[in-house]
Amino acid sequence: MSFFDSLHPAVSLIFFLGVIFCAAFFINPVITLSALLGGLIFLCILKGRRAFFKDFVFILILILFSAALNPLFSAEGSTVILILFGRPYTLESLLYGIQAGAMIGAVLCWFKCLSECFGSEKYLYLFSKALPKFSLILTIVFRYIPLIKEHIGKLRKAQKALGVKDNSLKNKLTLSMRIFGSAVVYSLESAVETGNSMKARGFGAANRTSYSLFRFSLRDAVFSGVFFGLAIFSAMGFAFKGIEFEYYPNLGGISADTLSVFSYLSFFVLCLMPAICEIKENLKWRYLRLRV
Amino acid sequence: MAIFEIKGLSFKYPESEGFALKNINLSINEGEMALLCGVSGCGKTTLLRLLKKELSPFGETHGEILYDGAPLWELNEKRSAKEIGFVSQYSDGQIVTDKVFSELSFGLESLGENPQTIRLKVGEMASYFGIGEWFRKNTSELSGGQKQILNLASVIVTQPRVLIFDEPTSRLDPNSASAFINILEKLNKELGTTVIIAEHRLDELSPMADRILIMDNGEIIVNTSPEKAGEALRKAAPAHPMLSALPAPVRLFELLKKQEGTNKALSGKTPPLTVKAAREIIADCFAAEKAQRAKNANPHKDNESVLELKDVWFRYERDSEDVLRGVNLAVKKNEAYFLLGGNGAGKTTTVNVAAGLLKPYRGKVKVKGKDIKGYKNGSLYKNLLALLPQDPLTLFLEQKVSDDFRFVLKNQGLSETDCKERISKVSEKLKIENLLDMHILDISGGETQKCAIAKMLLLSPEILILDEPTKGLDAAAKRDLGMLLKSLKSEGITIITVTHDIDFAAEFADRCALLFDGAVAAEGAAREFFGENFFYTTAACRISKGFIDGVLTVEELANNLRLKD
Amino acid sequence: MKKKIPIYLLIFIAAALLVTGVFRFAKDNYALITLIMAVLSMLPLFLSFEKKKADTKLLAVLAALIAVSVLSRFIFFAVPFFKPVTAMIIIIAMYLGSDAGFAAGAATALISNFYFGQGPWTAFQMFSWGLIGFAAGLLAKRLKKSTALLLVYGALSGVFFSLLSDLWSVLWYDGGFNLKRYIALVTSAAGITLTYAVSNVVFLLIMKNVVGGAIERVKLKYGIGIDS
Repeated sequence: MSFFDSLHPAVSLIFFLGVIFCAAFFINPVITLSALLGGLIFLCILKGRRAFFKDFVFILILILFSAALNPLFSAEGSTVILILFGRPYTLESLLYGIQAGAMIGAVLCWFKCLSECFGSEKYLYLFSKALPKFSLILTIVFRYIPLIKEHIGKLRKAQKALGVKDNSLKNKLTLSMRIFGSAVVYSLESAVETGNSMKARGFGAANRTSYSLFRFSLRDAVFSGVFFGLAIFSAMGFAFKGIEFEYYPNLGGISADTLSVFSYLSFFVLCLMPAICEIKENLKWRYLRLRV
Repeated sequence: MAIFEIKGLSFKYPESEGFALKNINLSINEGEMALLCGVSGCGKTTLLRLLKKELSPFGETHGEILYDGAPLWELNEKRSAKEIGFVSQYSDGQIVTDKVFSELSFGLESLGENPQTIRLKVGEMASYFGIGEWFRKNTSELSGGQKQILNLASVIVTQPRVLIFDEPTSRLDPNSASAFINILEKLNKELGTTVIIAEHRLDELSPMADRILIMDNGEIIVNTSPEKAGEALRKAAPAHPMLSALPAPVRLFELLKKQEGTNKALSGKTPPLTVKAAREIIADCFAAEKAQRAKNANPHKDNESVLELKDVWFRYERDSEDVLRGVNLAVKKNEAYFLLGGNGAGKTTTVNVAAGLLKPYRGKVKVKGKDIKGYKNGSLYKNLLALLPQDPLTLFLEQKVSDDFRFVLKNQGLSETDCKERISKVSEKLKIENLLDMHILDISGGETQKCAIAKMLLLSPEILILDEPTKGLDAAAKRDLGMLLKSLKSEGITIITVTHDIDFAAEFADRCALLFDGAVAAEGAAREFFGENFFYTTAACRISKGFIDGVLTVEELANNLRLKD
Repeated sequence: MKKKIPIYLLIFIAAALLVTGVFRFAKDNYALITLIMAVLSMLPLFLSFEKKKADTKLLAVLAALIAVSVLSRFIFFAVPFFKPVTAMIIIIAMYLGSDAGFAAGAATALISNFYFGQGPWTAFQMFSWGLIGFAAGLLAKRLKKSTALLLVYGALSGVFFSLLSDLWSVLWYDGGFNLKRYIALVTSAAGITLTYAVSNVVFLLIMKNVVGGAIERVKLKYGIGIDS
């Protein structure tokens, strides 16, 4: 279990959404690169080097494609590098392609990290606060997916032992469709029993409370403290100095005054927070094991 | 004090003609354990559901039900949910959520308890039921027995005063069922929770129940202590099918009473409910007649083998453990071969391998002398071999029974007229003509089983494999099924049955095999096989140990006992 | 009720802050604006779903159907983009009403992405499918009466789903609307759009009676949705 997995869901979700928000909507090379770098390192720690490599190659290709293709669609920008099919191919457009590709890559990367350490039970927990009924539905759905899957497996086996043909594509589709129909009937029948069971146990008899295994601990407090601190520092810079980076028609500059540098730095550290926490945790375990 | 007081209760379903319940008068005391039995369709479920307000069926109700002195329908929702718990036989359907812990807390959350209290009560419940180890698991990963214990625990977590059970163990294997019943006893004895339970497993439940209620056709015909149930039922209805479903010691006692001159000797005795009590009575009053063991050499032992497994090894995943570790068996033509064994012994896996649904990684499977791999394109399942899976419902893909039959025959390339002919022939034989136009989910468990067997017979197999065919059936339906198997055998069909049901096997098997740890541990003609086993045998055999050897049924035992001089 | 008000209030304040924030810092960021609009427009639908007191059996039946529709995305995994999901959502909405239809659409998108991967598209799929379900619920009577209308609705839903996801892709990529890129994307994705539309029509035709009939049957048998 990673450090992030053990954080309180509210804390980790706010962190993820914050980073993803900045990565997705601030068109600024410093921000995008910070987010991409932080996300890649985090993903590498979560998934292990081998699984990470595949994702990394995918993101790299995405950026290259974006860079190569963007100028074909957008002729804005003043620095023409070459003329292709009678259309200007501009440097700004190429750079924007890289920027947009990196932006999408960073967002994908952080979403992958999110899936690694934010399981369905955490969504359900958060939803149950704001949307109790919807979250209950989701819970039942998660209960029913394996149930129906298992039932479909049984149906397939039973049909095979009956010698039902599935050799041609047509037969295969017919059988699939019949199995699907049967599974629907089965799951509805079972759902009625579930509904009864809910009612028998008092659903709707009182205002529902919610119970979960998550507790807000000291490490959650410390993590959110650091996170909010860094977030405020970076937001200050973004608010006072602006974060829009101009690509068209000419490349804009990045302000290098103290406040800006400070706020970019804060954001960079913020993106690296998960990686730092995970590495710290790993070291601690190694140390504890050595002492034993 | 009476917790439930039922006065003149009658009930009629909207669509049906007759009443499902007729003038029921009954009072259940607080702390009592009442065992409700009767053949399926006698109205048990209707009665039980009427006692739980939230589950009451729609229909015409007369009479009244008092709960704790006040009419049940005036009971407020919260109290009803909290104080009256209900567990049915559908272990899967009753589970609402995906995680064990959230299932446990569901009732408390619904009643609006604060999270602190929930934490405490859920923790307590999990420890009491030994759920700790699977507390964080997904509910879909649990075994059938664990699921049912979870259902019980998540009802008890609100500390109900009454627990109502509708055949809670009928879909469990014997070990899980015993575990479940033991918990029930503990709840009743240690916490004083009132228990009202409908069950088929009377052997185990009778000794712990305070009262037996026997229902017949919507009426309660017997309402007495378990000891007196046998006599009371015989008086109320001398030929009632439930007589054969009573616990073996009770049946034995009733049979012995019928013998000449035994009346006096037995009149002072309390009718036995346990094997131990029955043995005491025999030791006191009876002597064995010269043990004349009925010969039961397997009549088919010289037939050719139609299905052979030779040193079969199987595992589900490459890295998982072996489930079958060298199974060897040979089923003779026209034999009734029963495969027994505990949970996880590999019974179902063995028949699935035998039916060509799973491929062993070592060893050979031969059907009629030919390697199973030689049967291509489903030719194995054409007029040769059929497998009835554990859940017979999975055989049916169409809604209407007759549509489903037609589909499977057409798939085999039969013409419309041939289809009709075969369907009417088979359904006549199994007496299921009235079910043909019904929706498969609207018919009872016993009837579903029959339709499933009919579907197998449509394919006119030579070898019929049945996986747990008695699961969920009551005594009468089991007997029906056994007779059907006998008649199929007389037509030359070879029958292989996987079962947990020892009494069923003792009565209908030619040969039995015990599967243990992925291999056949013992095998023999039914009589030898059960006669030599110590635990794994019928109640009659356990009662007779030391007096007479090789007795399998209560009737045989009674016939071989004579009063001491 | 005491506890619920602050939560809605918080959501409202957060939304208000976001909107002002967006206009202050990124007034040209159409992707962000559309995303926020999509999320905000789902809120009243969610709240109306939460508010209605529903029979527990109906809730469980709805959940089971959502599970089926999530699984249907796997069952036909062999053919890309040829999925019965939209058809399932439309059918659920027709038989269980617009609130259930919305919930089915939103939940299917959210849950199936646990298996297919979450991303910014999750919000848009929730929005599109939720809306398709909601509208199908409103039109339920007419859709049940006329198969032709149902099929047209199915085909249009496929087109709507595809066009909307393309639109957002373009808005996000450029931070504004680039017509040239949109046209390029729509034309290159024409095959996919067509597959969506055709698969919706085909699956609606096949499943209308299978799934619809099954729903009608349990509704009748157990008196679901009929007040006692």
